[in-house]
Amino acid sequence: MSIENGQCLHIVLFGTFGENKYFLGSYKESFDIIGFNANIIAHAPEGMAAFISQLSKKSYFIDPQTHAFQQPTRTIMRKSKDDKLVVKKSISSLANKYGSAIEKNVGKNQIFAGSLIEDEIEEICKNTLLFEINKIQNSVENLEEWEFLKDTGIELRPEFLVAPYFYLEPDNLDMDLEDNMKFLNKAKSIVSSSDFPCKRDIFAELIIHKEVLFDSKKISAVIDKYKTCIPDGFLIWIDDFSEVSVSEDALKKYKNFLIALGQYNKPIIVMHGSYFSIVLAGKNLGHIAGVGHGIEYGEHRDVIPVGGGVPRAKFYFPKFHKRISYHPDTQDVLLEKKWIKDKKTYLNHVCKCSICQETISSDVVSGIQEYGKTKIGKDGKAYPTAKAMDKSRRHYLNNKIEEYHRCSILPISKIINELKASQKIANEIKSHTFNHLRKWANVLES
Amino acid sequence: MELKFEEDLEKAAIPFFREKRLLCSWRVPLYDRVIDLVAIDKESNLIGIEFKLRNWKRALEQVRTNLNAFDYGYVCLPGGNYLNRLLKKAKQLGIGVMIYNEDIRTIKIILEAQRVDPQWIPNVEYIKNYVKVRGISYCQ
Repeated sequence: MSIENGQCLHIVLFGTFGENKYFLGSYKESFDIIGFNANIIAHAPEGMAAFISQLSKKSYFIDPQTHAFQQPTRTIMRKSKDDKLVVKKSISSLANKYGSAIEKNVGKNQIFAGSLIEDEIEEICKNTLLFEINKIQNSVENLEEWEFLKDTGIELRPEFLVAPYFYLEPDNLDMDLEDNMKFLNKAKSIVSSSDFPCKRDIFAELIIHKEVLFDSKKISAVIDKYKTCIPDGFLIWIDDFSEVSVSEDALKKYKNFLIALGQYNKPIIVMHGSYFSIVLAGKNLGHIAGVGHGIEYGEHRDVIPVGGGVPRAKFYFPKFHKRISYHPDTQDVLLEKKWIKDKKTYLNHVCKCSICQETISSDVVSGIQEYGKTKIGKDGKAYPTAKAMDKSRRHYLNNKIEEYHRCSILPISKIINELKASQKIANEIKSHTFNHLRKWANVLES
Repeated sequence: MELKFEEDLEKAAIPFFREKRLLCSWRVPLYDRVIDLVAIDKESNLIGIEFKLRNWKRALEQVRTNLNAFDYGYVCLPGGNYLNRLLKKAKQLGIGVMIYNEDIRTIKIILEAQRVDPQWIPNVEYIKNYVKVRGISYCQ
């Protein structure tokens, strides 16, 4: 598969085993690439291999998550049964794979850029790349399925490899960049050596603190750094950058950064993005190759996990390209706009995806209620029911697939006009604000 | 009664609700929220009430969040120099305001709530059913 800017690739990030059915079922053909976090593969390699083998020829990549070892140790720890802080199992499994420099420090010391000697950089690089290229393939060879797969010639190796990397923080940016370049250079030489299992493109992953993005000198330094060693592609993740919440100026800076990075003529994949990024990936603008998201979440993400919390029922409003709480926001918007008058009104104004067609009956409110049902858990808190979560996920995915499709064929002027028309409708709504639509249209137009 | 905790305000409000002959049910869950007090009046109107000692904005937000499940929504707070700002915002939202006067230890409605229209009927039915199953009685 060739990856190029303007392809509007639909990238879906795997979260938990509970989401398997969305990857294996009817949505499979609509996803172009699947992204996996290395820790889940390190923790359950055979389970993941069995899963990936069922995806047959679907392209995938592994985020090596080396930034996890750079974060404060508390963020990769959990409390054990006897109330002691221990390293999370999946992170510990990953540290074991990446070699002694990481293994000896995990859970004890943060690993900062500038603290590693050349041999350690080489060791981390080699182990990371071998893990990415071999882990699933080697694990699948231990499974019964291999009997059937081996004759097909299919190899379950990632589409491209990701070099190890540090998170680009404002206070240690020079060092972070310096070591990231060392990782990238080393990665390229390792993969081109004759003893590496097979050739793959090397992508550089840039996880960027918002302050770095907003500082013109700093972000230029990031972009310029890659002149000395150009990767085969970029994975971009701006820490906690919610395209529906940030200012118009922030969106402009984000767009300009992607355009500037485009000078290298290499594919750019945005790991966590919403409709705004999808438009940037469309063939009209072609600033990036594709955009990732999770199964009904992950359109923006914090680098440091803020830790679970109670999942809330949310509903994706396709017209506004935003997930909002089921109670009260979705209910209030529907009441205010009278979009629950009858099924026809709902389908015309809210959503006509296959799940909504099947769920919404003449009693629209009862149908909508299916997306937001909760049950009280043992802890006394309300959780969305499994059925409600399934329905809202399928509704979300249906709409996402439609968004990628539309952005890959529609002229940009039509997309901007649609955003303006949606903003006009949103302006009449008092119970919730959707000002991102105006900001998106302005920035896309500029 | 000196008000140290939100529960003190709730206790202080009980005589008022009893006098009004309101049927009451405390701590009623709705989705991922818990409503401090659900009351039903003589006309069977469903009333949602949130208590707060200081943060009037948060109190209004909590009532607003659950408003589509009720006929009327109220906040209940002790008096303070925020009153004018609270009244202005509450009026905009159609939320009623009950103020506890610590000197004379009584609750007074200083802004009547506007009837909620339209409502989200499944939420109204859920609340009615919840308090019916759990049991509802004159405030105590």
